[in-house]
Amino acid sequence: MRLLNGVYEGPGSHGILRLATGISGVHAVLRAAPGEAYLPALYGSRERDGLTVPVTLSPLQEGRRESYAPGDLLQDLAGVVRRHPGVEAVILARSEAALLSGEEIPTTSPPQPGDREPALVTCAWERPGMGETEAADLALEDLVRTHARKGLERSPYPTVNLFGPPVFGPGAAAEYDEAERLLNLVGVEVNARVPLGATVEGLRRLPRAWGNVLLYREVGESATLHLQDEHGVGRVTTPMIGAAGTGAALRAVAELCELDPKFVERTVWSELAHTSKLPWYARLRPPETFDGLRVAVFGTSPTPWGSDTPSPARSASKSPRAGRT
Amino acid sequence: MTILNESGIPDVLHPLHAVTGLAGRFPGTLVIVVGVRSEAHVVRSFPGGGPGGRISFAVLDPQDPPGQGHLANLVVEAAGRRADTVLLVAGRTAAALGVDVDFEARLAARKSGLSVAAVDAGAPYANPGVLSTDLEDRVLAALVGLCPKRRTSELVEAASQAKRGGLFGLGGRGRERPAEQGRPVVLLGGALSPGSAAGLVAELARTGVQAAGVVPSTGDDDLPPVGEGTVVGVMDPNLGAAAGAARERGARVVRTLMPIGIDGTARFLQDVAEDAGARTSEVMRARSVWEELGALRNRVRGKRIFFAGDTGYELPLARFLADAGAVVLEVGAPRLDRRFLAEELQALGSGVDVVVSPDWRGQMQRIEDSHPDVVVASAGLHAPLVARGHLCRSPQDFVRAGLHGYEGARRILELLARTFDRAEALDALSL
Repeated sequence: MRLLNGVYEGPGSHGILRLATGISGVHAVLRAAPGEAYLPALYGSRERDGLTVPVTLSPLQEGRRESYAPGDLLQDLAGVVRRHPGVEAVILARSEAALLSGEEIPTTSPPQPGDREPALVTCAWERPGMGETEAADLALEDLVRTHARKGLERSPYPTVNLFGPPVFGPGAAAEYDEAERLLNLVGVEVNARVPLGATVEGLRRLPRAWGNVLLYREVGESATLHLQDEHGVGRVTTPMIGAAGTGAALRAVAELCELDPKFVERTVWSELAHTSKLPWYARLRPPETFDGLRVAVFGTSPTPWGSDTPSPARSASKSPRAGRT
Repeated sequence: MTILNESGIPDVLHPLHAVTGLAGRFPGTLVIVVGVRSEAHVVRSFPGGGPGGRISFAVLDPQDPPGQGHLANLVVEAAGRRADTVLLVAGRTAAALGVDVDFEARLAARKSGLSVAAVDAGAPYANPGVLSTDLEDRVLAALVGLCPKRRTSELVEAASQAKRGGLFGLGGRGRERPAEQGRPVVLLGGALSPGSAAGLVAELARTGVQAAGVVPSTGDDDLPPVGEGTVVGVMDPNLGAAAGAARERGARVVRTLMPIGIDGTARFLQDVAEDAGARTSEVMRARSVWEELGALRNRVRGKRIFFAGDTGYELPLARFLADAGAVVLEVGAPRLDRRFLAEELQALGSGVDVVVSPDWRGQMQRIEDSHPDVVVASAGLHAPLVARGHLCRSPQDFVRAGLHGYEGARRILELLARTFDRAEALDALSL
């Protein structure tokens, strides 16, 4: 037990819900105590699309329960499928209170009338104390493993899958857009964005891509490794951060997609000339912003940030400490 | 009035979201949230408004639960000389990991000499369901436990003083009938709107009843004694546990309407005064306030209002707004304690539907079908409903505005009038 001022990461269930919320056709069932479902409120306050989140609470009831009230996990799973005809996959997330209760989880999909049977992803590996990033990474791997079709032919032209951040990632949609724009410049199309903006059908067709570009390694690591091992889809893990990092990532994509390296290099140089090596929004802050400040970089990123970018810590400030937490 | 039980999943904000607001409300108090990562994450995800108080997290390791006394040592170390009171708020997982937070609080209090109160945020209520204000209720119940007890000798003295002419001595300023009050009055509630508690104290003083104090205390006041012979006026409809704690101490909890709205305030003042041994009539005062607020009532008259249900304040709010001429389409009640709220339910107009355990998807459909003028929407429904073109207010807006007493009634009507005015101004832009 430790006394802390806060935590930087939520619990595993939060990571699974963040992941599922971004994928169309996936519905999450949160097994938790009544009142523990706070994702809808968070989503409403942080995102501006006005959508309701595809999350249903299956309350872990203590004591007497009305027979027709929600609370029976199997019935609740079946109810979700019945009430949401468009659902193609149901993913089960359990809060830490539910995990500590020691409740058994179902192993088969709930029976449905007709021939429709959405896949059930139970996240059986979830355990108390697990962080949201690790859980989101493993949940995405489970979803990809469940849906990615074997034996699909590669697309006739070079395409890649973009593995980026889930919902609530700061500027997540803009990151995907920028990466897609740069890839289009070198002649590569995006087969699927995962997880934000993905669909279940898109997950099925992931093996069509010529490669996977990992923008956000924390969540896409396991899924892209699975695609590499089981479907032979290579991956680019160079982070698109900083001018050199972005250029290196584009060159790696070009190699994977068998593009002309000279053409790619010319495109990268042309892009750098247009943008003065940095995206326009980097110019919003005056150059003195970090002068004289002591900067600590916290994060869970397993990769070093852009190696040649004049980082604030290096250029104007003394960095007392930087690294992983 | 019809009560339906939908047995659905209501949209209710996690009760722990209120930790930051409560910590800010008690500046000299260190709040320690005991649980695993989930609890700390919820508290940090909802920073709340106003000045932040002092919050720490005792994060338990599920693989290595702490031994007995470990938490108490941590509390003593954390409190040091920097806090007068420590509030140990235990999440659901603390009990699951074998932490007896009551024991740890007692041990920490003995070791440090500080007041340490334990709050079990996950303890179930007798009635099923959760309200977003449950933590406030639990904290107030813990504070009642910290109030000094009244002794029998004080009761004898109080009775003789009352016979002589007043519990608090003679000659108090502005008291109309101090000689008639026989029992001390303590107000319970208003934790998140402290100004409105002070307003009610003043209203009580006008009727000749001097309040011995408020729980939670306002400003630098100490907690008032609560025990046998104390008359407790409960200000908020969500305080079932706190009222129960006062009752367990032998206090007399007044069964009346909540002091929300004009008629509610009038009944509250009358009934509290009567239980305290003073007689007063609020009929004239209530009538004059209704007249004063005529212009504001005209702004809400005929407006159709839907309460999704979240805080538990919806019932008295709906009662007042229906009396003021609004049409209340539905009152969602994620949990309904019929015995505690019997007076409120009786006073609710005949055309109001109360839906217990409402299903949030069903509510959205009913809102789409009926298209109310304003929806008092819970946090999860707020953004989707606004995106669909509905006019929404958060129930927390009403709570923070201070809805108790006659002035509270004005603030409720003003808040709604401002809502309609702004919507009309935006409509006029034809965006």
